[in-house]
Amino acid sequence: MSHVPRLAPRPPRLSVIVPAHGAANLLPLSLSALVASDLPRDQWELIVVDDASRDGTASVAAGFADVVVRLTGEPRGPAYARNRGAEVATAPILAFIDADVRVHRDTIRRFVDILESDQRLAAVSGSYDAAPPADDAVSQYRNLLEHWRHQTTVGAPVFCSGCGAVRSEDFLRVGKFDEWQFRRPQVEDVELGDRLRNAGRLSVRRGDVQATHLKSWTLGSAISADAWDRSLPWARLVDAPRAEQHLGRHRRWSAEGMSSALVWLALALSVAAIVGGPRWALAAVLVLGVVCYVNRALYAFFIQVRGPGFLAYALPLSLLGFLANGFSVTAGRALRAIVGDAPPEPSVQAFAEVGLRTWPPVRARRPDDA
Amino acid sequence: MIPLNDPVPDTDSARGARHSVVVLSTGQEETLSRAVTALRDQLSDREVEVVVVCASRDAEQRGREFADAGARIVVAPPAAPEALLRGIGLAEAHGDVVTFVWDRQLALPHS
Repeated sequence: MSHVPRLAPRPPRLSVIVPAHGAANLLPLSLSALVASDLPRDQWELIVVDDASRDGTASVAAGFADVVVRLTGEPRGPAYARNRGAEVATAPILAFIDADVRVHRDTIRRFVDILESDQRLAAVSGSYDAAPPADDAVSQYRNLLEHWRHQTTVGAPVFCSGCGAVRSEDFLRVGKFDEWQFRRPQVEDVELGDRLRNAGRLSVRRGDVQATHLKSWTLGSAISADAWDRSLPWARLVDAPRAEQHLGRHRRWSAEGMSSALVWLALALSVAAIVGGPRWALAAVLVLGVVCYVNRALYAFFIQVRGPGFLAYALPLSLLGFLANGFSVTAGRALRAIVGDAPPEPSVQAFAEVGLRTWPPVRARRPDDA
Repeated sequence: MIPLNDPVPDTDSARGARHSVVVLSTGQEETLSRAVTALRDQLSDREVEVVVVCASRDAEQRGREFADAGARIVVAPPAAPEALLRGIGLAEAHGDVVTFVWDRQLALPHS
């Protein structure tokens, strides 16, 4: 796969690929954690792909990495960057670690151990831990919610590109990340996991392979990520009903979908209460009570890890999230039905049709779409 | 210097990239000789830019030897920390894909 000359005596067991854009402040944390891993350093290679940063990301990466890939021009998104990293990787296993993820000492060693010991597995994903360092309420809520989502899908056949590993041959066979459709950090990993399943390859989430998510969230970025970069593309670009079916007992979107519908109903009842009186308001409260009941395990988790006071922040943020998700999923399904897949930029499509090859390369279609 | 790749059409996008190899060296005689041998063996027929960043003032004397092996030598302050060597290497390299390797880690012929 690689055209980089092999200079070391032995090929590595693992290639760790870190896509980075404007991450000069985070990379020292994430890359130093990787370098401190208990997998001997000569058994893995570190590839950092600088996605057209303007903040010295490449220079910081050079202090740690075995290979730095420099992409110029406009940022093209993590799916594109990870694909470029995979193209210069030399190991049979690829681990994708985001620039804002700090691995635990054993994370990448466990990836290698799991995939080397079970040849049936094509991919394994880790979980974010319950100790996110960003201490404001929104960041705590959002990062703990991710931990909860990961832990409640342990064993599920999903792939997570923030902290996950996949066999190189399977990654190539299914056509890499879909850089054609996903131009921002969205659900490109969910979609890749879907393709692995459709190809009959096993992937699994492990709860005991953990990493720390360093991301700081604002209210706007949290809602935007959930609504525009997760729910909407999930509903529009991934065959959501089929993907849900694959998840089997790990299905979570059904509960989230029901919660979203109930929160919208409660909102409608609250509006009706303005003219209809307190009975409507009582009905709205009852509906919100049902939402709390449906999500009682999540709220109990928040209380358990951050105390009852944290629920004062988490509950409204959670309800707001359900509102945004409900809107986005509806919009995504409507777009999928009416418009279909999002078209690429006209110039990209034209270059791709002509077969123009430059560096950085023109965004590529997946082989089965070509 | 070995000529860089042209960004020409090819079947694999990575082939369109220009590759640079930055060899980090503390300037020890033994490892520098090893680097020259390894570079001659592995890179002489490739279109790869090779930059040797050497933390030793004496390294300049070996410039011609490295040039024959297809590499360009850049002298760094003696005892410069690794991060500085890597930073110098990245700044000196023109490649889109920059590979870093220590001279002592270079594979010798038939190793």
